[in-house]
Amino acid sequence: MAVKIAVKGVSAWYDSIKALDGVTLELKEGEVASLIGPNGAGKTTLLRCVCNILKPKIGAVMIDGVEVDELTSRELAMKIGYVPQVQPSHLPLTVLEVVVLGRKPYVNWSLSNRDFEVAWRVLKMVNAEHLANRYFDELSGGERQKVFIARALAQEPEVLLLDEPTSNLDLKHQLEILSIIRSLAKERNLTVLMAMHDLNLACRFSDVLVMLCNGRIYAVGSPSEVITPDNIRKVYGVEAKILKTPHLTIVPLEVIS
Amino acid sequence: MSEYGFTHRYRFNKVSVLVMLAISIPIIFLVSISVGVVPVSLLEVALSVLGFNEVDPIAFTVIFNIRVPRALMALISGSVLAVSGATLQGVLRNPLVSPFTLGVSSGASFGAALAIVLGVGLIGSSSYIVMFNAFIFALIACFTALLIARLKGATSESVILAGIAMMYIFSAAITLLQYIAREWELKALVHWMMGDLALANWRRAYLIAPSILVCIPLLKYAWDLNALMLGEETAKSLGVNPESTRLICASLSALAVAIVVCMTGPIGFIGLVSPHMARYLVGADYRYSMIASILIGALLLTTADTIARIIIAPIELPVGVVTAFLGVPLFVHLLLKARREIWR
Repeated sequence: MAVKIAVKGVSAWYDSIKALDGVTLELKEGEVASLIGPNGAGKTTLLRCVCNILKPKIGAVMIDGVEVDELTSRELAMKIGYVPQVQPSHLPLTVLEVVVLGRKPYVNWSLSNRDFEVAWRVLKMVNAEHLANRYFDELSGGERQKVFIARALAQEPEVLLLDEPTSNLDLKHQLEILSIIRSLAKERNLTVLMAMHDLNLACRFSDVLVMLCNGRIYAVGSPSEVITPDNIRKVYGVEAKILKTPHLTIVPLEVIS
Repeated sequence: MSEYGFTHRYRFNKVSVLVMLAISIPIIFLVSISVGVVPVSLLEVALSVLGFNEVDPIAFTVIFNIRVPRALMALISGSVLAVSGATLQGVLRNPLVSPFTLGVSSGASFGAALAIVLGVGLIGSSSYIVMFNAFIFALIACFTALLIARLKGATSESVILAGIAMMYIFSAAITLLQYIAREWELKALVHWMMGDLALANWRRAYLIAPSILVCIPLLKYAWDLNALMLGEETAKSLGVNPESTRLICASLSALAVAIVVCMTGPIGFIGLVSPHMARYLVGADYRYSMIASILIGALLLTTADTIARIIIAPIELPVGVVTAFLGVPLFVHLLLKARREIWR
């Protein structure tokens, strides 16, 4: 599989605070990768650099071998969909209206029939077709997250960036949303990079885990390579036990003082 | 799977609302120029507008030299105030914002006060000194606010706070001028600051007319404003630059509103309320709500000005008083009737 996203020696600052420090990473087409690491490790910052919302001071991000900074913001919006962690809690729109906002890069003034076809198709992909004419404000947290993911998919992106897509969701929605994302990646060759706090879910639904610590990559590899008691201890400062069956599972034991 | 699926949960079809509003514009225009101290029937008005000189010369003069420019100024001012309000509420993502949030009205009032009280003018002959002063100081106030905000990355908060800072400093300066003003100067100033279309004439109508052109570039930002509803991060990922969108939209609005305010004085309420009414009628999609705002602003101000002229004729009320008395009940009605909170 071809390399889709290449992060090359990226360092980024917020004012004087260094948030990323020489991060290098390659993601292949159709791969699901999770960024893990404690709060402030640089997960969100890396996602923001990949979609060029934050321009790295050093290094570059390439998509299909082209630097993201060389693409216009419109071209980039047709390639990368991003669902930030913080989302508006009120939107005076119906679900379908929210989803067609994702057609922004393709639209000058009027929405075409094709724009609505795409909107319906992506709503179907996230199992939210029945919500199309509901008002966004009437939805539960899990339904809202599906709508936001559909909104990003309406951009018809090749890369999907998700910032903690399952935080604040119930058990069922966590599993449902991650299964949807994984099957999209496999069936439609979508490359997915998501920041995750839940290590068990990250292990279960990712091909690759990227463990970040203090803005650097601490470990990269398959879940079983990255999730070791040693890595958890060093990165999170937590003593943990790893179970191999039925899924790779982390049982946190205690904080190391 | 058509755009109709997009609208069917609204009370009215958006396009038909826009058409109804647009049809109301020529009607209110004709009504406005037919009523007054010299009453002229609608038919006569219509005939004279169409070029049939079948009205008597006095009525003709009243209509064409006084009422027509005044009604045109009301339509244009209302539209510009409303479209600026709608745009600014969108780019600053705040429902309490009005075109005057950037300090335009305080700056303009200060400029007018300088001319009225101290007779100090930057440029212009005596009759237009107030107008030019108001225009220049309106621009000084809002562009200072925008420059300050830009230093802080032009976030919504910084733009609003810098605008409020300008408002306070110019209000303080106005108070000082009021304190030293003589009685007739004070009266003139207070009258100017109430906002009024009584000074309307053709020259002013020509001068105010270009401000309506601001609608064109602002409407081009409708999709960017739509994307901004999703929050700044998402808007950026959709290819919108919130900072430059804010600065460009705010500058265009400020320029157009300065043109209006320097000739009419600060007519409040229209710019704040028209966008809300528009959203209640056609929903939050800025492509529709901005157009609806333009039409509602024009209708509201022209109606208010007509009522202001006739309600206790021959005395005219300041139009700002009537906009509030007319607009608030309408606004409250929509607020209570609306099934959906447009803003949280």
